[in-house]
Amino acid sequence: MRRLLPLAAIEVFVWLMLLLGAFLISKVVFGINFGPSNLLLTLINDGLRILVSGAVLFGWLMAWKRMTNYYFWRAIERKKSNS
Amino acid sequence: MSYSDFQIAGVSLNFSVAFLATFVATPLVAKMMRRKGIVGIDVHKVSKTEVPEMCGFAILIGLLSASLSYVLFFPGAYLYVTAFIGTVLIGGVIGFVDDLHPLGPRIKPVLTALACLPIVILRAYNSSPVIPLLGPVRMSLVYPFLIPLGVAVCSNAVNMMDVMNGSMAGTVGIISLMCTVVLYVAGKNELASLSAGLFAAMLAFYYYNRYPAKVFDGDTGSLAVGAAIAALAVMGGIETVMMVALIPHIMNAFYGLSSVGRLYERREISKRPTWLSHNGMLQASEERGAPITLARLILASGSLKEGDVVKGMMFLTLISSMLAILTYVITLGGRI
Repeated sequence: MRRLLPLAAIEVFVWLMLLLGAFLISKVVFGINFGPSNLLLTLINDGLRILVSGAVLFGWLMAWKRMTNYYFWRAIERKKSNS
Repeated sequence: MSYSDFQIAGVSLNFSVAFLATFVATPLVAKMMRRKGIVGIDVHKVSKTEVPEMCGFAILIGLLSASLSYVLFFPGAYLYVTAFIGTVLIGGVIGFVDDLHPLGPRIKPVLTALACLPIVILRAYNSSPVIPLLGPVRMSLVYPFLIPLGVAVCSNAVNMMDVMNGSMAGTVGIISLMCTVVLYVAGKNELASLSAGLFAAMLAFYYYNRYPAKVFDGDTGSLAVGAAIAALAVMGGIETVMMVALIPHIMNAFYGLSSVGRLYERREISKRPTWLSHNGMLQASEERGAPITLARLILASGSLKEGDVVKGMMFLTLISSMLAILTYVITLGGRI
């Protein structure tokens, strides 16, 4: 059971990052507004929103991956040094 | 009969029929598969036992019987039931083909995406998914194109978790129970009943599939069950809640894919993420190129028996399912 606690902590981290990501998207992405004065501006507006959302999602996945990689190789190293 | 009695009757009916049908069908399907020589090797046992494959058919039988009996008593639910069963059956057929003639790592996600067709054609979805802290977001044009992606991701993530005795049935059983609770609280009676049916089928199948397994579900079972989960999420408008519940499955799939660097099939991986020692204990591979799967993460700090690794997976799914309920309560505020 004890060995699962770091993984459960990663799950909680991932969940919090998901909420933070949604918060950032709601505040930053939906804050982007050039005004729907013409078709070109609307397209730039929506395109930028998609790009920023993608960047937030990418950052979320990368943070998740780095954290897990760090945990995994550290656990392996610790196991090696104990044996 | 009050409305809440009516709701409980629907959930109980689907639960009972799905449980009984799956429980009775599983040994019969297993017997048939063994007779036809459709068996797989239990690779995580020293004895390398032969176990009947493709017994996921029993899950399909369970879900189909429960849904048909439900629609007999509640004919108003035919739209959701048809979309749900259609999606599950397409997922099952793709899994069946994959079991007989393994599909490539690129074609499988594309084919599983097609399982969403009944939902899209019958328009059994709400195109305003509820995003945490944002509330419902109107996506009338984009949403139908996101459904195939959701179904493909979900069914393949469930399929990739189906690596050990009881890992798929156990984890999806927990998720479908959470899903039943959320849909019931949200007042979506028909979908809560279908979800209760899925929970019952998982419970009955787990009895035979748990460590040491007497049956394997094969891709027939795992792809169909993954499609069922996705269908419930899309039709119930609980996409985010389901995504949180599926964190261990997404972790497992994402880590695997990102460490290998491309879409891959389990069969084509030369560097295995785990290995079996002579005393029957599973160990995490220490090779750099091997996929970092959830099983390998659980085994990182020491060896375990297969049954204990699966218990670990179920514990992590229990945590994610509780977080999913919390997501529903605190961020959606019951706006589903």
